[in-house]
Amino acid sequence: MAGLELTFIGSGNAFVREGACWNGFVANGRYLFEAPPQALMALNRLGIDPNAIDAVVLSHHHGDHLLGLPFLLLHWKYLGRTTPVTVIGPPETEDVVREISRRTYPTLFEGGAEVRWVTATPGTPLEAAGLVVEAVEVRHDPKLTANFGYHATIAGRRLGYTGDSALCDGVLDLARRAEVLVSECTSRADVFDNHMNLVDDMPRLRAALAGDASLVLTHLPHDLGEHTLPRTTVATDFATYRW
Amino acid sequence: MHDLRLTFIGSGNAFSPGGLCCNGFLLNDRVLFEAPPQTLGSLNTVGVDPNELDVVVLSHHHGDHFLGLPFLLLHWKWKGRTRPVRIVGPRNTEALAKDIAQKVFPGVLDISYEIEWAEAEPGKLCRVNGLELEPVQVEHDDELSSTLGYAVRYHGRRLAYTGDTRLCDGVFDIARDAELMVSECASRTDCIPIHMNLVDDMPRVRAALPSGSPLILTHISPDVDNGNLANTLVAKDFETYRV
Repeated sequence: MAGLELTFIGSGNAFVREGACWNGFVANGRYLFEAPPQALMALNRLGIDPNAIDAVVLSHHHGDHLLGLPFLLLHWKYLGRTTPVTVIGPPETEDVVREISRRTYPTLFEGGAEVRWVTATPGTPLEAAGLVVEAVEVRHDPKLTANFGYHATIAGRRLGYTGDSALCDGVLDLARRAEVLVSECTSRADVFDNHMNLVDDMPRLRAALAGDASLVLTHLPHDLGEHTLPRTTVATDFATYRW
Repeated sequence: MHDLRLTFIGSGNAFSPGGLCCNGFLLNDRVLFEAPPQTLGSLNTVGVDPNELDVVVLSHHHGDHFLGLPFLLLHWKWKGRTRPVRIVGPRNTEALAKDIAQKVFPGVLDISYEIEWAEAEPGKLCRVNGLELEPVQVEHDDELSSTLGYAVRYHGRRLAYTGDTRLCDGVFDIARDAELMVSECASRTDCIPIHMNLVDDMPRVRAALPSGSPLILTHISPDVDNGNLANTLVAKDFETYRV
């Protein structure tokens, strides 16, 4: 049976204390979840060809999840990409990325590889380049167009990803369906109304998962500390995990 | 006499070849030249508190020089900045930075510290916090509001920084009386019309500098070495150089 392989291009929260990279991960070498600012640098450091990324999946439009995209587009335009790439995200993703890119690389969208922009709709699965994903509404920043987590099927395995969120029905729904759940865990004990922490939220999330499902924590603070949760891994920058 | 102490938060060009961080450097831990996307992570890696920065100096608005700014703003807002900060850049820097920062971090400009925005114009001396900046016009991307290099005076010491440019009069102008020069060198032999390379351009930049003044190459690809040029170094990510 084909497996699921996740390589983290970063594991830090928005403040990247102690120099961690911002959260994002590549699934099976082809699907990039999130485009943190260092995305291109991290792919190059890991030896993952940016032109081999077939789809990018964005949870929301905060800069630590989005501002790496102009650099990926730059690479794709100038360094030999010939195949189309799909970018999946909340409403207005194309507008937001085009606007920022136009002002920071004015000719970025003249020529270059085809970009297929897909707006995700909660509850409606979509398929791109062999990836099946379904957005799930989560609770994070009401000033953004939307905040999504994703349920994905990759090589027959069921992956859940929370994006950034407080503990909410969407996150618990993702947990119930997943064989592997990648969850944000922004702090150890500090309570934020738009994020989850280790001591209060992760036990409840772990309990919602099947006993043999795996939990991977990311979007981490520098002082996460120890935990005793079963089948739970704390992601580290540039590490690869397989199931 | 004051040392000029430069710490590189990145040395790579826009494509982060080989996993290099994008170019940017600190002058004596207080002045940041450029805001590459990974700025906040890099500052945390080199152990410089972002709240201790007095001035950020931008050469132009390409993303690899600019898109780290939203993360500095995020840190300053949420991690206790109280002192004012000065941001110096080409025409339209304030509007562009505000637009993008608000889009990717809504509310990040609702702040209790002060940002002083200064528009840099070629030939117009800009004095901030013991620093004198003389912007010079360089030749890089006509689609942007302006592309600048800088002649810098800091406690009587003279630093030159090219920003991104082809070899042009502005580069020679700032080289002539510099005690230390930081120059972009985007490739080894490739001739990119908007950049300088090692084999054709750096010998001419070196010749324009006083022989005792070190030349530091940055914005590089990994195959750039010092070309056997006298008193010439290649910047490395996170390294500090003193003159």
